[in-house]
Amino acid sequence: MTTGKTMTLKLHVWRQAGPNAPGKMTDYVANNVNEHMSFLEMLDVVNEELTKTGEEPIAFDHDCREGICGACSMVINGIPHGGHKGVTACQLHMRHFQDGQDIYIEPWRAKAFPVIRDLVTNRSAFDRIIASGGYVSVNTGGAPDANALPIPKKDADQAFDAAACIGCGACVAACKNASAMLFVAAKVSHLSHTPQGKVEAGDRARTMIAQMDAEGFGTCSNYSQCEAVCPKEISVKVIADLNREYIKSSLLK
Amino acid sequence: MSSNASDARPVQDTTPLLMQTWQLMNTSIGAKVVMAVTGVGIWFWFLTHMAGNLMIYAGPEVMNSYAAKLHATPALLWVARIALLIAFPLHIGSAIRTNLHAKAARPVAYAYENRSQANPGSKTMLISGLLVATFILYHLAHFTWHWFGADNVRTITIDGLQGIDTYRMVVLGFQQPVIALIYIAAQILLAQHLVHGLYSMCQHVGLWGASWTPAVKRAAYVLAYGVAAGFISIPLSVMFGLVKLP
Amino acid sequence: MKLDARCPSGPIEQRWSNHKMDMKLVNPANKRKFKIIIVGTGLAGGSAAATLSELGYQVDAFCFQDSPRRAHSIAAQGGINAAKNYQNDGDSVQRLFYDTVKGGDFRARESNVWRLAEVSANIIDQCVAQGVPFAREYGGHLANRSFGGAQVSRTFYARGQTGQQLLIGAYQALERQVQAGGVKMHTRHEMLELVVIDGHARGIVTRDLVTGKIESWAADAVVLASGGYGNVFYLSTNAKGCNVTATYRAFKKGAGFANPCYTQIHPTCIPVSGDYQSKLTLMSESLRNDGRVWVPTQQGDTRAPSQIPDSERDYYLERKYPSYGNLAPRDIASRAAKQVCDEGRGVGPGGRGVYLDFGDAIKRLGAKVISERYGNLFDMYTTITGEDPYSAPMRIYPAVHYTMGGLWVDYNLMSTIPGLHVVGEANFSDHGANRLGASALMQGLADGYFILPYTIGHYLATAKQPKVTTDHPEFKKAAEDVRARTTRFLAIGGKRTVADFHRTLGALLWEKCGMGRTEKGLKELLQEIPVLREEFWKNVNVPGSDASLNMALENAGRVADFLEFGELMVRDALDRAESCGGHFREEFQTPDGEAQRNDAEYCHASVWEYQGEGATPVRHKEPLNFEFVELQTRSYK
Ligand SMILES: Cc1cc2nc3c(=O)[nH]c(=O)nc-3n(C[C@H](O)[C@H](O)[C@H](O)COP(=O)(O)OP(=O)(O)OC[C@H]3O[C@@H](n4cnc5c(N)ncnc54)[C@H](O)[C@@H]3O)c2cc1C
Ligand code: HEM
Ligand code: HEM
Ligand code: SF4
Ligand code: F3S
Ligand code: FES
Repeated sequence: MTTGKTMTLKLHVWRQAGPNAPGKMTDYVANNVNEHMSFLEMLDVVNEELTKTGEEPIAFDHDCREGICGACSMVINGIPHGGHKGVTACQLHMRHFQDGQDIYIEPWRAKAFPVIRDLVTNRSAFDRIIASGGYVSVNTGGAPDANALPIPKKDADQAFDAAACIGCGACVAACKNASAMLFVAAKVSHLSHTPQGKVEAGDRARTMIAQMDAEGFGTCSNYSQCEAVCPKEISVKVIADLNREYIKSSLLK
Repeated sequence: MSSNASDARPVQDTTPLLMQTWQLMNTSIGAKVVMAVTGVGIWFWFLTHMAGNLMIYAGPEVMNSYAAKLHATPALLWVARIALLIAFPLHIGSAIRTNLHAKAARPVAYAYENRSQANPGSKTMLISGLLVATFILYHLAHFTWHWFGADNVRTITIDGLQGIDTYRMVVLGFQQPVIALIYIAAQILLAQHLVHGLYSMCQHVGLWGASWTPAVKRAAYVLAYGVAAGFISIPLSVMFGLVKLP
Repeated sequence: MKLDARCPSGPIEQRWSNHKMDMKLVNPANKRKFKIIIVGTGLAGGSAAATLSELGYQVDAFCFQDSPRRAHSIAAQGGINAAKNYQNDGDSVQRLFYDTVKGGDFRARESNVWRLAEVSANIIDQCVAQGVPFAREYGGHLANRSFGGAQVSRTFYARGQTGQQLLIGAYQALERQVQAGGVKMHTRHEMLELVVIDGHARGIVTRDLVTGKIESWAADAVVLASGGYGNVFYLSTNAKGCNVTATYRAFKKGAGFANPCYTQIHPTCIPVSGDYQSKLTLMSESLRNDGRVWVPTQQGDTRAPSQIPDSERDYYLERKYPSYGNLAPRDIASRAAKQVCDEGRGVGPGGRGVYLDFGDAIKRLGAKVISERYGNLFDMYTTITGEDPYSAPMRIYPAVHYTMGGLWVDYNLMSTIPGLHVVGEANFSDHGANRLGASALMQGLADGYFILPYTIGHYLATAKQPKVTTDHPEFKKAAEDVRARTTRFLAIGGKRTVADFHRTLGALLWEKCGMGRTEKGLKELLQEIPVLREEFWKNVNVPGSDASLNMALENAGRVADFLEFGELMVRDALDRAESCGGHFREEFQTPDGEAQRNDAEYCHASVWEYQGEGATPVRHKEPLNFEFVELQTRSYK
């Protein structure tokens, strides 16, 4: 019952056997690619073919395949997630490619995201940044009634806009400086727009930035490439929010 | 607190203020704040400098008397110079350091160049900045230290004050097309630098508004190229003989 | 196997508080001496890990993803229920309790459901305190919407990303505890064995998915929060990594598996587009608040939807279930869709689809309001199908979505293996034969934040087991088993890929153990699955090594377990000769096609006990008593 047109693509994929192994771009031909496939489904098909010939499949991170878990992470023709507005690699469909096209597929590139294998990188630096302060310090139990503290819809919406971050790391991958500012800023902005999170907004900004620096991410020069590739279309506005919190708290501490 | 595990947040530190400032500068955001603040400083001085330079259109008397008065109030002059002497190294130092940091953050480059949206001017800040620095040294060697073009320098007395004939020095200088062109090129570079600089400055200190940030970006173009146009008009006017020795 | 549900007695609204009073406590100073293993960091596991660490226990948490934040709970779209009655529309703990028991088609335990409804309000309070950005009204108060199977608005939501926001809340609480030292987080670690010593769960064996290292972990109690097994069908709305391995391994070590045949088919998913399809995408049930479901009255009507006049459209849910209309519960809405497609009135490629139409809602409310409510879902639909739901109706079809079955647990959320606790979708507890929309998130967080932290203390305070280390022979043996299985996969060197086997299994189950089940079909499956399994062990191709990241190897283990578990599911479906909730046996239906329960014989939870390799598992029953809701035919007409 498969419908839709099929095409053939020339893939150039980064293959690297392990964290310390050397890697290189390797060429493959992907046959019978249906236009309705997602990019990852296209890779599935390539992988099945590879497996049948005894070659190891191309490793890539993925899970939800609907753009929300933030696991999938590949740079497609130079752009993290492939460059379609608001779309992750798993949601990118092959109808956006042409028959016979060359496609370059590479892992996120950043010192703080070392390659584990092929397209899979280690993004645990993000978890450590959250652990350093990306939360509201509240224990379970004893919370007041949820409606006790009204939150203006505008603030709630702004908090949400930032909270939409899926922690994929595309911002780092796109940034010329490999900076994690958009990710960190999204968290800081989310929490500082809720009254619950405001209380420790300053401390949060400082501890998270300290951790970001320690992880070896670059600094932000306001290139806005992060915003352009962010699958959740998070605006660099959040970076200004973070800078403000940071400066305020550094001056007032 | 019911937790047996100690709370995650570090205790407040009680480091002295100077130390704190130093620490701030050593963080990624702090370094950028330094760039922004020094950038603004240089920018203000720069505007004043342009205003002074534009007096060239008012003729030699006005310009030379301005220059002479300025040199006669060393307090003002030196405050400005010292501010610049602090601002420039900090600005350049931070620029180089954060750039090295950024380079280290991506040890392996992409095989396929990243084509996602970014203003090309923004990606070449260090280069445009360093070229401007080279120009400034050249400029100082020319007009302040008189390492070359010294034949054009003549001491005069104006309003009872001793000074150099700035008007004459500038006009004779720019009558050499090569020098004029170097100045023009430098202004364009500087404008490039400032376009991103002005927007970036706002962002670094946390100024952002849905309606006015796009306006700031546009204003940055107008301001940066406007100022450059002001400066460029001088060598151009000299080259085309609109401004000449009396 | 003894099934003691340990439900308290007395007035239902006091059972949980009385029970809390009766449970033994662990002295605060002693808590840090207890180590608890938690497998899974979704809403259930993440919230449990954070809360237990806050209480002072030492927690070792595991997940197979690269970050706890990516657990499958992240994908939940629509919302979370709570009996807050903020809308003043007559909601109460009692009504939520009633709706859930009825929605579950009278196959859930009353005491548990009441407790769930009771703590539901605390969940919302807790999440707001963590900074979860729920939708709000202009006045700053929380907004609600309604979901299938309820006539009140009690669903809290965060645009179409409720699960993500709740999980991020739990994840941040978890990371806070990681920083504080109470939780050790082990990402990219897959649990492959449970270790039972002297009848108590004392640890697990994991494989480090990056290095391939097989490691043993000892503890005083083990919690499984490993989610559901919907992926046994290959195509489902679940994330690709969802699996049955953790719970199935525990089953093989003696934990009873309850009601494996209860699977939920979600009515609103994007239809399959081709054979390469790797998963199905849910379109949130919340869409049914404003979307109207219809098919053409005529068979084989191929006109564009806009060309079909109203008089030739069959709004079949509104027609059949006037009081619930498009918000009829999931099982009912799914079956109704299958029915109209079986009649040849389905739309789209292959005739496997029905329309979900926003035309009227857009006329009534304007495209802007609709986009505010469902914008991201509409975008998602466009991204996947390349079609625009603002101008033409969406096409939807049912897909496997949730599994009500799971490891059997008592009122304390403890399985039949003492010390092994099971929370979230991994257990069988609160949803009976059908889960209502927005109730899984509620259950996961209720278990993790508010129930397990009390009940596990009781176990630790009373079990009095000696400390064990991973040097114990049981650990050695379990690790050896894991190693042997991995080596075996790699040595087969057959011709078919793991995914290929998985697809075949899924297709078989969907065909004969999906939306409609018959004795004949199920019996065929009992023949076919073992044959497929045998072929798998002879002919699967798992390339690569076990000393590095190897996706094929990971999947081989999961599919191997599915191939055994699928059979258990079929066995359960065959055994339950009635229709109830998500389990529809075609032999048992009313003349107008509704599910026909058999309360006289099947008012129980079926709990399966493993009997060893190749032996048929034994079924036990936990009878269900309905003291507070009268057993009645479930009607949404
Ligand atoms: C698309 C979709 C939308 C949904 N929308 C809603 C909704 O709107 N409202 C609602 O109430 N419910 C919804 N649900 C259901 C709900 O999301 C799930 O039931 C719930 O999130 C399950 O949570 P959990 O914590 O039990 O498990 P999960 O979130 O699935 O977490 C499982 C965890 O276990 C780990 N794990 C599993 N196996 C192993 C192993 N062997 N070793 C180590 N770790 C392991 C995983 O890494 C993961 O961390 C939705 C479900 C889907 C599929
Ligand atoms: C002299 C050599 C110079 C160098 C090496 C230099 C370098 C840089 C660099 C790399 C930045 C980028 C900051 C970022 O990453 O966001 C920057 C920003 C800036 N520069 Fe310069 N620059 C120089 C001279 C100047 C001059 C002469 C001016 C003004 C007249 C100036 C004004 C600015 C401003 C306003 C900014 C923006 C600061 C910010 O980003 O907050 N710079 N400079
Ligand atoms: C057409 C353009 C310019 C003209 C005509 C010009 C002219 C002059 C003159 C005449 C002086 C000497 C002043 C004196 O010592 O009395 C001077 C000094 C100086 N100029 Fe310029 N300038 C120009 C552009 C620039 C630019 C673009 C910069 C920097 C970005 C710059 C930086 C300086 C500095 C740093 C000094 C030294 C100031 C001091 O002595 O403290 N100038 N300029
Ligand atoms: S900010 Fe955007 S790009 Fe960066 S991690 Fe979050 S979702 Fe991904
Ligand atoms: S692209 Fe990089 S420089 Fe800043 S604005 Fe984004 S992090
Ligand atoms: S696989 Fe989850 S976002 Fe792509």
